[in-house]
Amino acid sequence: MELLDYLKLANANKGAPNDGGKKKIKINLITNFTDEILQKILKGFLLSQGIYPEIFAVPYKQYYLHLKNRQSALYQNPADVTFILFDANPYLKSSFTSDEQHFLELLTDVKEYCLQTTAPVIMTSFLIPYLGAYGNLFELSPLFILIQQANQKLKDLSQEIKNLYIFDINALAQQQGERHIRDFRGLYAFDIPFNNDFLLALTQEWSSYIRALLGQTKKCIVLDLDNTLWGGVVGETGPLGIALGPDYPGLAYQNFQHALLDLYNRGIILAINSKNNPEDVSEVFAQNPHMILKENHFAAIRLNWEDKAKNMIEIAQEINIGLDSLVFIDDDPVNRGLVRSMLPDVAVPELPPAPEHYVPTLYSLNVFNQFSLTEEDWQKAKMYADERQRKNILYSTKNLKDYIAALNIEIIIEKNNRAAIGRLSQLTIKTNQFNLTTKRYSEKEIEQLIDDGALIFSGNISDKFGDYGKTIIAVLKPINRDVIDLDTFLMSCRVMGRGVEQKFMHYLARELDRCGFGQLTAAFTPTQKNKPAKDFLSSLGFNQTNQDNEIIHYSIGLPDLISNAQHFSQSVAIKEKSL
Amino acid sequence: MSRLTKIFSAVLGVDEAKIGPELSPENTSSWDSLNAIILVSEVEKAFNIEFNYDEVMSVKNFSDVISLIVSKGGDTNA
Repeated sequence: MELLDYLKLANANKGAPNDGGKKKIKINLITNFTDEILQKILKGFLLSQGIYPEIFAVPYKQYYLHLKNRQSALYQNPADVTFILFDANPYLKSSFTSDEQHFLELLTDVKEYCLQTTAPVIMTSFLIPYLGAYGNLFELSPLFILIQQANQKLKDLSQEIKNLYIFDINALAQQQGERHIRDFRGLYAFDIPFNNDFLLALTQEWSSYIRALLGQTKKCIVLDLDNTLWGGVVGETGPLGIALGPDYPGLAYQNFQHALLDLYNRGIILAINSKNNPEDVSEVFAQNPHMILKENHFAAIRLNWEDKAKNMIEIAQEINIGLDSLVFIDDDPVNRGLVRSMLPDVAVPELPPAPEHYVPTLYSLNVFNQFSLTEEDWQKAKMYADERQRKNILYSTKNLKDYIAALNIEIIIEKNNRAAIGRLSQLTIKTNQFNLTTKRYSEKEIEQLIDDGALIFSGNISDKFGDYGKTIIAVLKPINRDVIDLDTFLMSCRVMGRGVEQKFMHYLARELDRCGFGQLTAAFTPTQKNKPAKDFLSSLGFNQTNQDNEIIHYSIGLPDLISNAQHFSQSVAIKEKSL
Repeated sequence: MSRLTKIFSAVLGVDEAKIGPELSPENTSSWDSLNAIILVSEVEKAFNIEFNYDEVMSVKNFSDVISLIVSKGGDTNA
């Protein structure tokens, strides 16, 4: 689709909120120029994505009044997302091109606006002027310096304000070419500083934030192999005969793999869907030295002669994500067409026939954008890929006990680790399923617990395939010299079903016994979500003592607990981290 | 005329069949100042020509647009 198609869509939908099945989004738009064309393109593009926007734009030249007045239509119109674009145009003298104070005031106003909403505010950075009176000495230009400083201030502000995000217009201008984005007649005659194509490019970038907001970000790339990950057909040429590696066209394929690995490293899950013999592909992974992607990078692998749409469904189920989270990349237009027609939720980009265009195609997809990346995101693709290998073991072992034994699970225990309070607090806040009491503790409260004499044990869990990180905690509060209470016991659901919780409890019982305690009290507080933890205490022989409201209270002698927990998951290893 | 018709149809939201020489801002409510600006820039881009401001302002109907494009060497039959 191109610009005219989007305009057509915007016209067709004029005023008719035909939102059946479509996702709605309320957008506030704040600019310092005539933005009606921008609104129209934004609307048309979002409609093409199945998103129905309701746009409130601050009237021309009134951004100042609206931002400053909490009674303004802007403030009175809560949006799902706000886009702010101030063009500090070097071709038009204004307070944006001369007045540092103006930027400071503007950013203060933006800050105020951000603070009154929890919805994301996406502010476009200021376009850096490289052209002007100073020519090659542009770095000396007062305007250049002013804009650089304004961008730095904006950056500082976005670090201070959680819901303020910066959209980098300079990256976009670089992609488009600064010479190709301006409309000078538009600027001087109508106060429209950008041409339509740039406004469309801007709209496409902004829309990726909206997709992220609506949970439409893609999470997984499903790949064909022959003529996609490498050149040629491995079944015919053998593992060393495929085109991959230092010369054309192998170099292009190899760098496509590098680009995919970069995506994997930022948390995009990879999977394989290929018509091939599994043995042939195994040989490539084992023998071809030019392969960048290894078998352990893939979270699901389908090598068979089934139709690819069927495989796609299985892959989505195996990874446990929606079909609408998948991107399918295949050089064969027949397969692309099949998947597109049978599974319209899967994104199936056109792949140009020549492999040198694969990387640019991948980069221009623009479907993986998120608001930010957390530590977990970095690890995500690896965790999914590790999970496939765990399941392989599960399928090849006879019972759960053997499976757990084959995983070589290890728990590294820490006690009262103040350096980890951020993670400890986060676990109490985020863990809903395996959580006996679901007490939420802020970082400050965790500190206070330790100061008050509570014992906080946490475990870092790993197995032969990877590291789960700190995923299990117990908070224990001494009642008297003999009795100690299990205030909190929780475990992240991604380590459930591996015998970790019993082993951790066994460790706690021995440790508390060693400290001279005789009795452990505990409680189960039912919530909407913590059913998985419901029978945990009774399965270890805890005795129910009483019940008040919904809370069930338990107690057990530590020697009993040690012996009861003993026979669970003996294969799980425990180590203590000395602090 | 197809390329030009396509632009007018998309920008104004008018059926291609209804686009003829007499089409004008007077008889087409969607031909407002906003869409006029979009029309000019899309026509310039499609025919790789540039209008000056006075030329743009002198346009009274669709046939004026055709004459203007032709006078700039653009091929409206493409």
